[in-house]
Amino acid sequence: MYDPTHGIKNVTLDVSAGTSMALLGRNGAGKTTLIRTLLGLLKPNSGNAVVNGIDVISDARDVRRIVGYLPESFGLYNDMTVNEILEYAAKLERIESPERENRIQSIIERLDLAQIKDMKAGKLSKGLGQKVGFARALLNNPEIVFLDEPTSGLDPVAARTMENLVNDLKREGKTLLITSHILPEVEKMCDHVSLIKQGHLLTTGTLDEVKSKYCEPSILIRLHNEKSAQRAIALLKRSFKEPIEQDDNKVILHINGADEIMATINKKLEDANLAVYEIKKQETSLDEVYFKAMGE
Amino acid sequence: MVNVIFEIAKKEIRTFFRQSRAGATFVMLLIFASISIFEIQHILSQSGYTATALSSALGSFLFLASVFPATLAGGICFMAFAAERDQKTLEHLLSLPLSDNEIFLGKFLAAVIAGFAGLLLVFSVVIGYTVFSNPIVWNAPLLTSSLSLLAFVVSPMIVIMFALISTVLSRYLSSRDSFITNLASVGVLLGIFALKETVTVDALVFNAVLAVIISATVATLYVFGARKFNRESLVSRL
Repeated sequence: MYDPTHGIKNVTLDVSAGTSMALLGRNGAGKTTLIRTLLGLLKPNSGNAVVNGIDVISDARDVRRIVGYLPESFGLYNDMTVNEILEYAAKLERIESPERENRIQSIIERLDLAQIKDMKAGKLSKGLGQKVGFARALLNNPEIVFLDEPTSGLDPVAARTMENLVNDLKREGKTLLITSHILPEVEKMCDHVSLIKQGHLLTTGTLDEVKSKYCEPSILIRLHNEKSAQRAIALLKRSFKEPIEQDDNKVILHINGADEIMATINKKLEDANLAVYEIKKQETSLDEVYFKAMGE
Repeated sequence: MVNVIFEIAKKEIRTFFRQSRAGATFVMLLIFASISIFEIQHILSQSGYTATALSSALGSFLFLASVFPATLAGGICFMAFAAERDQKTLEHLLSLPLSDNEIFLGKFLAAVIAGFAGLLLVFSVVIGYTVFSNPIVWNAPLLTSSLSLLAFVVSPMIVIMFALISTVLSRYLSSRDSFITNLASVGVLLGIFALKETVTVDALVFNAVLAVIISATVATLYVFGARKFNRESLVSRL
């Protein structure tokens, strides 16, 4: 188990504008602690924390001005309507009128909240509440957005909406840092991944970089039958030193599946009168990477 | 320019009075006012309907009447943070570009405004009823030094003190514990009221000593509360 007294150590995340980074790790790994530290809600015992070149310890309010945050266990004021909640948040962000009204109107239109804007937050479903929380996080038109478990507990439709919103924000040039346990969704939303374990950063990079670090790339070739697969293996062993496996009528060659290599393999097999039904790069799922990286 | 302290205060007051307990609060204010009126009427019927007797009776029972506005102020502050925690809205509030002082003062101001409004209402009802429903003989001014000290210094300072105590303690307490603490604080005030009635000290001296003690407590609480109030202590309890 993670000992929270160890805290976060030497974590540097490099996320460019217009991209999103997933922060992955087990419960208690320190993901939320890291986000709270970057927001200046928790102070590091030693060292410093910097967001977009701004020192979090000395200028926490400046950091909060450029960051939008949707906490994991976020809540809404149940007695207030959606419109009132957004107006209150905008006032606390010090957005002056009439810019405030324009900003609220535009966010209501963008997140399709017009029909519920006069509803009390206490009557909203989890998915709609999440959307309002997201709207609230975007009111200050932030350069950076922190989303802590944004799709947790959402039904598939609401989760898809959230994914679309994240992808829209990326296209607008926003930088996103997202924590999630739902790895297939992370793959759809994030270009970069950081794995964190017991407060330490295990690895960070683009999805492909992290995948190739933990899982060997491979090429899958599907042939007519098992006998064809055996012949193909014998043929491929003459050209490749990499390990080759057989699974029924499929051959798996553990090599980086560059297009030119696949074209070469295809030609060799066809020259040997072996019908290739399918040849493709084996996709490594983030699930596999996660379990390997976490040593589970 | 948006005044965030005022906006926080406005929202807190609105939230408090939107809840079902707002009606109960109003009833309690009137009950405390009625008890005071009943007792003052009793004293006047025994000592005579003079301004001197009325001033003396008000000196005792305006203190009693200020108990509930004080706990109302405390209740708003307790509920302000406990409710933010219960509704899971606290983390977002703390992530906004507000200073610790702005959050602290916004919550505190809401309690003081509500407490002062409660005081004004109760005092108006008690003084208005006793003055206009009785054939008072104006043999002396109603507003003595002792009564002025009570009405304009001691009672408002009690409201401020309760708001400060609640704001400071609310970092640590849940809604349930807040309610119990508020009940306990009513007991403390009633104890001071009982002491006031039993000790044979001049009312002016008693009120002056009380004013000094409360002022010192308020000053200490403000320095301690404002310095100790920070996001980290609140976030660590989420």
